Amino acid sequence: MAGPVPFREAIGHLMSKKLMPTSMGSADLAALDAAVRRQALFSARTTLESYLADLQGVIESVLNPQPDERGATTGYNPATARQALRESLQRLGYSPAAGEEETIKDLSSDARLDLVVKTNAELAQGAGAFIKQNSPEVVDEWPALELVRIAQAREPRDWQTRWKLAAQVAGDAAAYGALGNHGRMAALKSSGIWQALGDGAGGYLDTLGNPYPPFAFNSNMWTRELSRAEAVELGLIEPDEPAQPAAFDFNSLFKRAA
Amino acid sequence: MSVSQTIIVTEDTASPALADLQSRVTPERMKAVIGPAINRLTQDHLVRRPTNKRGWPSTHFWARAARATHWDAQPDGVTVSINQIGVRQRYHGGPIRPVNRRALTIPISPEAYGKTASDFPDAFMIKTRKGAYLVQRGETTSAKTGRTIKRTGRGVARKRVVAALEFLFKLSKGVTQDPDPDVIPSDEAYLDTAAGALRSSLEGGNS
Repeated sequence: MAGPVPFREAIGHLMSKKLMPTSMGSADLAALDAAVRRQALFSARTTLESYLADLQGVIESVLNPQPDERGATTGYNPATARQALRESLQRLGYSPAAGEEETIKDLSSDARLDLVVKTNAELAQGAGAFIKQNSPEVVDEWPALELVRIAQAREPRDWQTRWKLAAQVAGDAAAYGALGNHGRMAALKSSGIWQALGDGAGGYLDTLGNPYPPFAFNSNMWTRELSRAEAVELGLIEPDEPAQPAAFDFNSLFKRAA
Repeated sequence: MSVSQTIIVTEDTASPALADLQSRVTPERMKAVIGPAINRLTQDHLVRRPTNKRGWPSTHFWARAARATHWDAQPDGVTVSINQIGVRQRYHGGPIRPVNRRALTIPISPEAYGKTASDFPDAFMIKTRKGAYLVQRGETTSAKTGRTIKRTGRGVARKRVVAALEFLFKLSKGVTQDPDPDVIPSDEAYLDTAAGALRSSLEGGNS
């Protein structure tokens, strides 16, 4: 087994983000333009820029473990990432506001640290996969994606209802039919359903504004590529119909927010 | 006597078909067929891996590994890589020794699983005949009834009160992990998947 090949697209996206210290809460941040959010690294009510720099470094290590001189792979896992970030906050003299200790508003709480590590690592991986899935050579052979659960949740969200609402908003009858007729949440890569899912079509407020996973905070849903034959079988495309990539400015994933 | 046979071509349908085939079997095209196919095989395999043997709350290790899986075109083929700490160790097995610390902390309770010792600032070490452990104080319980009680007992009642200790981690100088070849799909599965994807693509529809 060879050493790991860096996930260049994921790392490139993460490292091109501008650090954005902010006193805004999650509701205000959600109201920002999605493109700005994609191009910035931030966390609600986190005004410590050097902490955000440490967070970026930790996430990069999670995404890109490296072999050391003994040949062992080194890098952060969620537990050691949590420890490193907690130490970073201690160095910066951070202490939670009275009454907010160990809540999600406490930057040093387990729940908050786990959420920022998981969300930012997955956003980078999701963007990296999105770029690869939409390269011109790949799209023609693998024209569609399926939304699948990759880990069990204690309280699973109703993604099928979200799918139907997003299909209606995107006007994608084939995607709606894939679920109704085949029980599969599948759509062409070029479908607007992916952006609608990320926008929380139907009024969902837990979404992240992206046409790639994770579509929502703490989601265990991910996308899986479907071949042309599978897409034909699900009624998404005709056998000889040219396939299109997502209508998206992929270069924007490597730009810093202005 | 010699035998000869002449074929007269009245309509050349072979040349366009061959040209179409040639356009489909460029190295870049083949990589675009095979890369996503074996990437998906790997991700599907990882997602199906069982959770921890003890049934403790999952850290979603394998789901994270699936997200960390990606493929890359190489000059002579494609590579699938799982960029996550811990996957290579599970596949190859072998010794694990403490680095920059005196001992490994092996979780022995659900509460400690997926955590580090630093997550338990009040934990302390105790040594027993079976080894050294990091523990933290739990609730005080009655030795007689097992119920949580206050620490105000006196005399005989006081003696029945035991301070419960929650064993979090076993401390170890090192462990040797068995290799697990099932971490990733078999070589045969990779070959079958790649060949199947190519065949299907050439037939006009990748499967």
